[in-house]
Amino acid sequence: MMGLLLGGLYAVIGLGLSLVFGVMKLVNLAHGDLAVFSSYFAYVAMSSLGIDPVASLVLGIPILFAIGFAIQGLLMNRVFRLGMEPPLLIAFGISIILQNIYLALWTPLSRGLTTGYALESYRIGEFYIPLVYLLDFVAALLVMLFLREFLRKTYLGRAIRAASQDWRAAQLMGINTNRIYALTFGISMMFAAIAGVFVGLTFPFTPSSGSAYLIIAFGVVIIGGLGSILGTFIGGVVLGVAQILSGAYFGAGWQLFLGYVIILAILTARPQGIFGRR
Amino acid sequence: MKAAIPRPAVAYALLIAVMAALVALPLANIEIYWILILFLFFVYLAMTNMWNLVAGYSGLISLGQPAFIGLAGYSLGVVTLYGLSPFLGIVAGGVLAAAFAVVVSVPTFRMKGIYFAIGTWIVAEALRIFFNAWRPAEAAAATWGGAGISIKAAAGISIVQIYYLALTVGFGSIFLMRLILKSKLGLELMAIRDNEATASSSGVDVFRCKLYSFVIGAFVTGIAAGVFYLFQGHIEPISGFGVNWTIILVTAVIIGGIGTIEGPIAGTAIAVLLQQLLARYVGVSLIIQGIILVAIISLTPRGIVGTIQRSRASRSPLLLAIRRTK
Repeated sequence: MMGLLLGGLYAVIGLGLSLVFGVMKLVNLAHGDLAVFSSYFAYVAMSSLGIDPVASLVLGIPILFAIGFAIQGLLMNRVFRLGMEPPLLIAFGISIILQNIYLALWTPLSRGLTTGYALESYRIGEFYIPLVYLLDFVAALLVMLFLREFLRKTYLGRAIRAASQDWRAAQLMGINTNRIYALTFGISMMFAAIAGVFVGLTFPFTPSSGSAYLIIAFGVVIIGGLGSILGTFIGGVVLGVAQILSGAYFGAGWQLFLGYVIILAILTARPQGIFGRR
Repeated sequence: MKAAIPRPAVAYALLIAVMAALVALPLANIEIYWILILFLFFVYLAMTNMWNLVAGYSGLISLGQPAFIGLAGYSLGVVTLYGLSPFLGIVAGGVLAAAFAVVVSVPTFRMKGIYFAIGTWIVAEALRIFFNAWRPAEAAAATWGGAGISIKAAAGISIVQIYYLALTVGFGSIFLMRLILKSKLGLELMAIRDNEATASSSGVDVFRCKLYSFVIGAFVTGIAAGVFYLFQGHIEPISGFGVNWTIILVTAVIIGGIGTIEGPIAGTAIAVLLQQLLARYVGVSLIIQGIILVAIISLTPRGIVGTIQRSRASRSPLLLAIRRTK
């Protein structure tokens, strides 16, 4: 049950990565680190201004959208058609920069978004469900519903889908693909902002937490396959349940390790993802 | 492939002179600081050369080199713990790294391109977490209560000896690169990098070639890591398997020019000097390195040597002639 709720949260982390991966065919290695930015932003808002972490998203989402727009518009658009490696390495560089900025600003100590409701829990049957996990899950459902409707109903959403299927054809139809790509990256960062706050509410985080988030996000995308919102959700749930179960059997110290082993095993067995298409 | 060095006799004489000077350096009364910088240069050079072989010539963008570095460091620690020779420990590290490369290749070679990069990176991260939780019972005396382990034999070896080891490994890696690239394997690897399907249909055993390159890369990286940790004297999971190694390797090769022989040499020299220059600004050093990495890739995706080669090629009379006839 905990795993199921946690899976929703993992799905939100994976969703942003999946969007960029699916549309631009580039893996944003800095995705996790950018999500951590939102965790720290909420932390500062909470500790110095007393603003609730979820409320800090009002500012956090636009800021990360702008950062994402700038990364794609200024850096990635120049190189990402050259091949896989240049954007991979640029994202890697951004990840290094961010991790060390966090380290310089907030020290390596782990922080948490400890709110009044962080420790409350509800009893359902014989299970105790922490309120935060429930919040995570609700947020995940809302975000996924929003993305689905956005991609289906709006002009921008259709343009993004068109650009992901065939960018040349999309360009011929009068779509400014470079701008679409920058917007897509920005939207992916909005999801990262949401994920960052909710992950921060659930777990403590450090400047290097981004790597763990990224691997989780990648695992979710691998299990769920590209371009499928439902698949991403299932991927998140599979990974969440697997981690909670393995943590219960082998101890919390091995939880992350086993999560990685699971992802590697799935990558080996089905490199294109369980629900993925080639 | 790049044309051979012009006037080979002169070039070889120059090379021998440089090598002789480097060998004689510790005998002259030179400051230990410069020996240390050269030591770092040659150790990194061996690793960057190998990353260039794996990523630049074989198209395997491995972000998992720290796995081999950490494993080799730990095997050096464990071997010397039993009072065995540190040289045996270094060799054992290389062998273990190579063996691990064979094991890892089974799952990761099924992944392509970006998946391979992430897959190898997850392997290194998983090992880091594994060694964080690992407490060698019989090695309890050598651990400091944490997950680190100290390398006892390091105390008995002078910096000059370690410098010579690094020199051997560094030059060895350059000769190995030349040897591989001139061999059939080198040609096959470059064919695969340029077009895997074509190479495969021309009778190149893609899997075997990639495996050779990956395992050779792991072996030499392991040896170099052993030399490094013999100097360092201790190893912890975060430094051994950490992403810092990947940063050094990737930055040096990319700055210099991936897929060129001279690139990693120039890039490593720049990376080592940069590291020394930035060493006094502890907090921001890596931030600046990251910014430089991003800037260089977005400005010259081919690196310094790659860009020079291109501009030289574009000015060459032959190419101009070809262009005119078009």
